[in-house]
Order: sequence, then structure tokens, then C-alpha cells
Amino acid sequence: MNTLLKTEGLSKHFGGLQAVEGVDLDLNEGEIRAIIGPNGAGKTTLVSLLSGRLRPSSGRIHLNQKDITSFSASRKVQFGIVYTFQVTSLFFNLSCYENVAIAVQGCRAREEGFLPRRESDIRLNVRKVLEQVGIQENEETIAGNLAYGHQRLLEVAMGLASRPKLLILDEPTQGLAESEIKHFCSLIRGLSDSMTILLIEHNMQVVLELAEQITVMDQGRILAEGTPSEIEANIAVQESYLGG
Amino acid sequence: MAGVLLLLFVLQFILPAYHHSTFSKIMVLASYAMGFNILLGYTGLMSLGHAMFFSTGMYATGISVYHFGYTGIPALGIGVLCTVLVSMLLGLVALRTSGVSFLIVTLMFGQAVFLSILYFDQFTLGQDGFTLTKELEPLVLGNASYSYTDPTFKYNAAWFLFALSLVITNILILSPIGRVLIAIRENEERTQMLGYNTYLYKLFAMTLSGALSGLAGSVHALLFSYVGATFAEIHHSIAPLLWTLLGGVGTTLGPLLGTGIMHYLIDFTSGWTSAYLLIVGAILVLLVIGAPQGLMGLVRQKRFPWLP
Repeated sequence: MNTLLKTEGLSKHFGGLQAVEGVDLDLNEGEIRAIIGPNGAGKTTLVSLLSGRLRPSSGRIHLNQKDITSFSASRKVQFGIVYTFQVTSLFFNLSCYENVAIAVQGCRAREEGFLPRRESDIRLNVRKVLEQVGIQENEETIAGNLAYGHQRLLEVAMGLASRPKLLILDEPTQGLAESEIKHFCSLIRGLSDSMTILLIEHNMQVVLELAEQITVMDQGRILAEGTPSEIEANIAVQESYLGG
Repeated sequence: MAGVLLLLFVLQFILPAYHHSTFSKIMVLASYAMGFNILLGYTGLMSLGHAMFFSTGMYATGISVYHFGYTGIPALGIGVLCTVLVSMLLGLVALRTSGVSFLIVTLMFGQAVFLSILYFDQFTLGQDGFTLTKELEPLVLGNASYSYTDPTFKYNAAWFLFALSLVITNILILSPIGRVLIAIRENEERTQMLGYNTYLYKLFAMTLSGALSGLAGSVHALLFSYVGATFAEIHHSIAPLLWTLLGGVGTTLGPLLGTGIMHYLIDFTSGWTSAYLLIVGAILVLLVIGAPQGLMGLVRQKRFPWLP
């Protein structure tokens, strides 16, 4: 399997605090990887480094062997690393259609080199993505008026509309109802054919159901890595995270 | 939109002389406010230095005519060129900041332009400014020749400027670029995380906004034959903000409505009392409380949600 993303000694310090310390992470193309760990383990900081929202203090990030460490967030999106926010971040005053259209338009512009003129072309893609996540009936709804679960789905839709190589989902199921989580899991599983997925998740059921590989973090470092069954068996992890 | 343009065009045959000339003025100033609105209403950036663009256009055009004997149209071109340059340069600097810092940086540069006008008084004639009445040659179109100060010409030129600004604004906000600008206004961080280089888009908005404001300044110089430092003062930067807030931020017709109402409000109240600004201020406060989204914003919210 090809390596999509590789980090070497990735670190981030905030003043004296070492949020992420010497992380070497390898992601293969097409895999679903979960990162778990207690609060404050550095999970969100790590993916913020990957997505360019934060600059690393040291270390390198490679995407398809290309060094992208110093790229800005918007350039990383252009190279296929797409981040969906832990705290839902939408264009709350605009309709779902517009929310996704902004993402689609950005993606088309990258592929074709200029901003698309034809709205029909955008509309086609917007509808496709809204259907994919299952909120096509809410096309005209103002995003701020959507139910929370639907806002999370819209957030994912905007990520998908950017056609990522690597989709980073930061606690996507937080605050969702049981039935919504089920829908969400089947959605994510369906995506893994066409992209690599990096998932930060607290809900162990979701992690065990979706992830092919799990990375356990604690205090900014990688504690363990392996398949779900290996991790489940790892006693050290159980003590630190699963609560023994 | 076409209806408003048609109405304004027809009004020139109906309005009495005084209102006729007032309307010419309002349309020019509304175009200035529309330039301002592109930045505040559609990109979410509040500038307090827009008088620098207006006065750059005004002085570049005025000086070209007064000192170098250019005719109106080339002088207009020089005015626009200079404002494009100034607004782009300012954007390169000021857009590294946002929010209050952006406000202060634009304010400071606005003051710098004002003080430069006073300083280089051999060109600008300082605070007093200069008139173009003698220097400006009439505009020749084919066989006909028009004086810039002729009321009919003035009205139609102002109308044309207003129509141009309105069309440009409409094209912009319905275009893919407009969509990105609105996205920046709503949530800049999210827009970045969708892969847009928001800095470049903001620079574009700033340049276009400055260019439209500068064009209004250039036209103002030609039509009203006067170039003066009052147009570079801070209160002339605040004016388009008030007009836009009153008429409706982020609406295409708001600036016209706001400029018109404000003009007539000052006109009427100053007829009664010397403390007219107190009354105008009180009315503005009431309006902001009653309709924080401005008059056109209110109309859009209550009746016509499709208004651009």
C-alpha cells in the first residue's frame, strides 16, 4: 500500500507546554485511521498541524513524498488535506446550498484553474454531495436553522465537496443521537474507497466499528499503534484510556 | 434595479431645478457609498479611510486638468488609475490586519493622505483647493459639445456613473468571486479551510472598492468643478459608512437610499435650526435601534427576500 501522509518528529509547543512531541505518523492510501486518547492528549493539535491551522515548532509533514510542512491552510486544502471542524463551523447565515456551493466552487477552481462560470455545473455537484450525506431536503434551509445533527452532516458535506485525498474528521459524532451515529458510520465507510480518513473520536464503539488502524496518543506522544483488536488487547492502553 | 435606474432617469424631466441638482449630487455620492459597500457589505471589512480613495480620484483628475491641461476623459482615466494603485498598495499593507486594527490602519492612512494634500500645497493649493471652471474644456462627442457644469449634462453623467456602479456591484455579487467575498464576510476561517486564499480575494475587493470610490471622486471633481481638502477629511470617510448603515449594509440599493435620505434630512433640519446635527443624530440612533440592518435590509427581511 502506498503511503499518503508521513510525519517525522512533528512537534508543537505552546510556551512551555508540549502539546505534540515527536510524532511519527504514517497513513496509507484508503485507510480509515482513528486517533484516540484522553482529553489534552494533543489529538486536535496534531490534526491542526496536518491541516495547516497551526504551524509546527519542528518536524516535517510529507504528502505523497512532497514536503508540505510550511504550506498555509488554504494551500493544504488545495493539495487535498481537508479538515472538518470539531466545533461546527459553517456559514450560518447562508443556505445549505450556498454552504456547499462555496466548497464545490473552490474545488472546481483548483481542478480547472479558474473560477467556474456555469451555476448549473455547481448545482449538479452540490446536489450530489447533499444527497450523499442525506440532507438533500434541506437544500434551501439556512444553515443556522438546521438541527445539530444535520449541521454536522453539512460540515462533512462541505469537506466532501472539496474532494479530499485525506479527510480529517474531528470528533464528528459528538452530540449526535444513536440513530444519527449509525447513519454517520455507514456514510464514512462508504467514503473510504475514494479517500483516506483520519478520525478523532471519543466514542469507542464508533472507533472499533470504523477504524482499520488505531493510534493512541497521550501527553502529546504516540503511545501505541495497531489494529483494533491489538489495541483492545493492549493493557497499557486500557489503563490509560479505556479505564481498565 | 432597472426600475430604479429608469425612475432616476425620468425624474430629471420632472424635478424642479433645485432638486435636480441635488439628485445629481446624491447619485455621485451614492456611487462613492457603493464602492464603500463592496468592502463593508459584501466582504465584511470596515474601512475608516475611504475619503483617501475619493480624494485621490478627485485630486488626480483635478490636478491633471488644472496643472497639466488635460481634458475631462483622460483626466478621469488618470484618476481611476491612481486610485487603483493607492487602494492596492493600501490593501497590501492594511489587509495584514483585521477587525479594529484594520479600522485604525485605514484611518491612519486616510489622515496621511489628507495631511499630504495640505503639505503639497503648490499642487493642491492646500485647504482651499481650486476650481476647474476656467481650465476644464467642454466634452466633445461627435459634433456636439457639452459643458461639464451644464445641469442636464451633470444629471445624466451622474446617472451614468450611478448606473455603472450599480451594474458592477450586481455583476460582482452574483459572480463566483462575489460568492467567495460573502463567504469571507460570514466566516473567514472556514473559507480558508475550503482552500481559498482569502487575502487575495480581500485585496481584490479592496482594489475594486477603492476604484469605484475614486471614480466617484473624479466625476465629482469634473461635474462640480471643485477640488478641496474637505473631501479628504475624516468626516468624509465616515459619511459613506453612515449612508450605507442607514440604507442597508450589503444591499445594492441601500447606499442610494441612505445617501438620499441623509442629504434631505440635513437639508430640511438645517433650515429650522443650527443644531440640525443633533436632530439628524437622534433620528439615526432611532433608525439603528429600529432597523439595525438598514432600510433596504428591513425591506429585504420583511417583504422581498430575493433582493440582492
